[in-house]
Amino acid sequence: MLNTMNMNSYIKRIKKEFKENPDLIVKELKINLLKKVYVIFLDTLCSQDKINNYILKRLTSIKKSFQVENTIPGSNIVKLTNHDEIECYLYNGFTIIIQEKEIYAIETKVDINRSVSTNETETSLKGPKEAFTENYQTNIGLIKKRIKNHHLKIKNVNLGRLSNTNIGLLYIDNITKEKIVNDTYHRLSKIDIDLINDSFDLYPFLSKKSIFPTIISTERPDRCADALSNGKIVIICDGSPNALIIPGFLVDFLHPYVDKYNKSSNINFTKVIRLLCFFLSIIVPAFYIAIINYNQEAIPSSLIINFAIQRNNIPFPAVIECLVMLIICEILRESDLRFPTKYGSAVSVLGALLIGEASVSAGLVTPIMIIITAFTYISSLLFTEIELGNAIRTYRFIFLLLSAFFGLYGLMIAFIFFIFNLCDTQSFHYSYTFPVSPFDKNYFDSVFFKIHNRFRSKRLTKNIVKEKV
Amino acid sequence: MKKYFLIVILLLLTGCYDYVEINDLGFISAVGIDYQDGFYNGVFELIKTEEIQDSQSIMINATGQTINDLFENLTLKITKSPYYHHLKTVVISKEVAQNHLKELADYLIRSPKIRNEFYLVILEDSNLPDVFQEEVGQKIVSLIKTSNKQINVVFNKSFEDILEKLLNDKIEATATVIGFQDDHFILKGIGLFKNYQYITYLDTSKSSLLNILNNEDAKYPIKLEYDKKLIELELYNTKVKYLFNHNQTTIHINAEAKILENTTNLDLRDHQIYEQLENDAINILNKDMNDLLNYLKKENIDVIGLNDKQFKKSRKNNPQYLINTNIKIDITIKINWKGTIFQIDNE
Amino acid sequence: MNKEHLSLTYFISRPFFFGIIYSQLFNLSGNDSLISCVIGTLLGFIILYLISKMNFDNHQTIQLLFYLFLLILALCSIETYVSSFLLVKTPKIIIIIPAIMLVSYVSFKDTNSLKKCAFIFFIISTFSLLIVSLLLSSYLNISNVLPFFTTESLGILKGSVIFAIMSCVPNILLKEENMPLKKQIIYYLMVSLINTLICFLTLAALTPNVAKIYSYPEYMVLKRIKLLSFIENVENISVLIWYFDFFFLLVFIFKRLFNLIKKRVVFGIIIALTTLLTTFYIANNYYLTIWLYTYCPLIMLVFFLLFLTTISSEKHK
Repeated sequence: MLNTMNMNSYIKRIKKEFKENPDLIVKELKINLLKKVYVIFLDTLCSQDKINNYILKRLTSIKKSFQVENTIPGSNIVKLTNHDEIECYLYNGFTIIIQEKEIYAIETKVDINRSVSTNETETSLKGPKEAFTENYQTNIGLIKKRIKNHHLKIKNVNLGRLSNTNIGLLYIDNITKEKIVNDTYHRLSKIDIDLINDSFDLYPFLSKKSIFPTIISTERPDRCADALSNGKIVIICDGSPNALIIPGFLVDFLHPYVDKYNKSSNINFTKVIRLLCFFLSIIVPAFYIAIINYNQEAIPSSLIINFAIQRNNIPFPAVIECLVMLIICEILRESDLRFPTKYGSAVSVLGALLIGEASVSAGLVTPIMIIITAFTYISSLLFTEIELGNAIRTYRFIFLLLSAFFGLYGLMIAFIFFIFNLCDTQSFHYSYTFPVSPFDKNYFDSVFFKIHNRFRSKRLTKNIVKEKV
Repeated sequence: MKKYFLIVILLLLTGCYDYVEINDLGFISAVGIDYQDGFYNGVFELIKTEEIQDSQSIMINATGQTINDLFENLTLKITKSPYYHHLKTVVISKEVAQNHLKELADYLIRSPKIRNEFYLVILEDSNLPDVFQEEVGQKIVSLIKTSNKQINVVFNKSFEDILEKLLNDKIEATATVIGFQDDHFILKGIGLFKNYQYITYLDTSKSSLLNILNNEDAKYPIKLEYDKKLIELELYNTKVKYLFNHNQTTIHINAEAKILENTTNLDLRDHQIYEQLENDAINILNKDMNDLLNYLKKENIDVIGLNDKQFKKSRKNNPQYLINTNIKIDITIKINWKGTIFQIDNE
Repeated sequence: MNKEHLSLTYFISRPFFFGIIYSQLFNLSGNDSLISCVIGTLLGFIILYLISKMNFDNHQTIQLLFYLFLLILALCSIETYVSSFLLVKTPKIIIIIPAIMLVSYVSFKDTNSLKKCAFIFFIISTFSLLIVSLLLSSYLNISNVLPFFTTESLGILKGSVIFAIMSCVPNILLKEENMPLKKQIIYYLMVSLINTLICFLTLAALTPNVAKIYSYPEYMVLKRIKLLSFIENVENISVLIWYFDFFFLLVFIFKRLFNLIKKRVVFGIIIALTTLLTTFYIANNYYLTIWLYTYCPLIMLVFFLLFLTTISSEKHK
């Protein structure tokens, strides 16, 4: 509680703290001869219209002391008890009103965000095309538009010493298991870093170190709603257009979410092809090297003379060729991502030269190697999640090295190592190969292959009935 | 973690002992072996992998006192390391087949570099260096495989099946016999072995009969003559069953036949003609079969495997079964195809 | 039905069949090997019952010697196979080093991820076995296997005893998983069916006379697979039916050895010494390898009888 004398020193203190901020505006209004009201706000974060229309207009017409809550119109009025909260509310776009004994904060935020637009990374032909934006309220609104039930709960955490970001943990009360919720909340509250710009900054604190991605990061609100109804947790971070879904398994990364909006009998065929491509994209270069250099009897006799004629004038061994071609493809992919399209399409022309007829006529690579590299890259571009592509690339090089030294025997050792590492990765106490290895028919039916199933997974949720007949 | 990584890299750099570039391999497609005056003479066909000019393969000669010596002396003359996994044929002369087959078979099976999928072929009436002029291996294989689809007068399986019969003491082995005439290979028939020794070969008509008895797909032509004019039938789709009863063997043959050529005056629209044709055909086939079986009995070569088959029923091994048994043949022929016309004459 | 326990039993009962047992079995009983397999399965049930009654608390030396013997046999088997078919000129020590590094990396991790891994490999292994049997089906000839009961009965009995011992006694490694006895017998029955199927495929595709002369008949039969003239010579790829068994056997041997010897340094020295002994002394001298392969069922029987004494000592307490 303050009196008038303290109020003046109080104002002085605020002005001193915000000294080099020219956008802090302190307005002093006299209600009558004795009483003053101070209105403090940050110009850049507040909407002038709201302040003029609702606060100043009302305050200038008052002649006696008043109760702020009953007098001033505003949808969100908070009574503050402490000086430290003033800074937090000022930066969130609130207007501070200091009357003789009380401090109030009224929300008058300006909208400096972009509007809800279509998503760019997970495009679909059918289904909703909305995407998250950088505003926390909009994002939560987009999810609440789809789950209109009071069991949807949100837990709030404020993280970041400098950024003071608002982070929300969403879950559905009677479906999700409490253990995951408490565990995640506990991990989040232990974080103490400077700045949180994007939800990806939370990644190293939430998951253990592994090559494969264990947390799904998505732009689609319908995917979040579906994950919530399956018993998963969604984390939304202020200022980030990506939401995190916990826990994430290998099958969630292999198949994109938009499969849900297609017929099941047709989409199952595509799912089988994707699964094949996941393995082929890792194994094919190593298999080719093992066959050409160690176990030539596996090549059919009509092809082997062909290969031998092709390799006649090439000065490099096949392994070096393969490594160089794979690295060139990595360079091409990276430059494709970074180079702005407005500058021109020189990248595609130069790329076609490097991996094309010119290298063959120069006598540097064989045509079969170009086909194999192109096939490997096309198969790995099937996956939308870029972290999975990076993980595939790491294993591709391990396979290639082991197969170059030991042939088919080395390929087998690398394969055992790869599958063991897949099974060893953990995503929030669930195994990474969840629907396949501890076999769970309900989750397998809904994600791995699209088969109609009335129940939710027993291991992920408490409440397993999804559809009633 | 990083220490393990370094150790791994160091150790992996010690590999690559078996690394072979594919264009350093010399693909050997056919091998020919002959034996003269205590020395094995061999001819090897090596496929060229440089730019293809006029011919696709080179022939290299080598000699040696044993078979292993022969294969090793090849490496003195060859510019690439010999690679036998795509070997297609092994051609042996009569001399080797009669006396030295066991050494050759032991070397070929024991060596891990040679697979048993090649075709073993015996060359009659020619010299090996004359035969190995152009591409040999692929030609012989194609010859044998296409004959399988036409009339099947040869033993068209690889060396592994010959090996099965060589190792089995109740059945004798057979192999294909070829000759060389006017710069072409020609199939001569099936050669008969007796316990790793080559005896003789059957001509093409008897080879077809032998294939029929062994339940292989074979077609056998039968010529019937009425009023000095010819009608020719061909048997196909034969099924043979053997029944054993003490010392009596009964062979049931069920065959279907086609009419291929007809210049007689028989009316093919009359159904009784077919019965007459079938009966006459049965008589001819009976006679031909009995000729073959008597020939085999005289030479005591059990290539049909009667001892093997009766052993599976009666569990008694009887090595002289072929000589002692009484063979009765029971044939049924059905004509069920006569072509697209009935008759070529106008009546 | 616990799928992970089934996969573990599958992988532990099978590795010694590759290279050691099938050739001895065909030599002893020829075309009656199928009957040996059936009798061996029945004997195996009895052995499993006796294993479940054993108690190892005070008999650590016998356990240590048994695990070392299994390790020597497994390493020798891998080295001989790889250096005779795949990498011919590579020295054996370099062949075995990546395998040992992989196994030691895996064996220091949790058993749970190993069990999940086992289930995935079980699916791959049975699926490839199915494809191989379908592709070989055109070469099978049942008259190669008939008639039964023509070889001498002593050979059949010896063959069945070898089959039972070499597939059951390694299950001692799985004693700590606490599988109930009824389930163990069901899993063992399924594994023996698969072993008998492989025996039948080998005998029917190659005749018994040919199968007797080879030292790896189950590998030679894979050379016969041919489809449409472009899938041929795939034996080095379809041999992956057998690769995973050795991996799991070695991992479990390492785990049990490490439980006995609790310190890492001593464990590392013992593994290194055993590897060097196997590579430079046993695998390089061929007559020692042959002696080991011929007498390994006898040595396993001796260890089994020594373990049997642990039951009676518990009863006397």
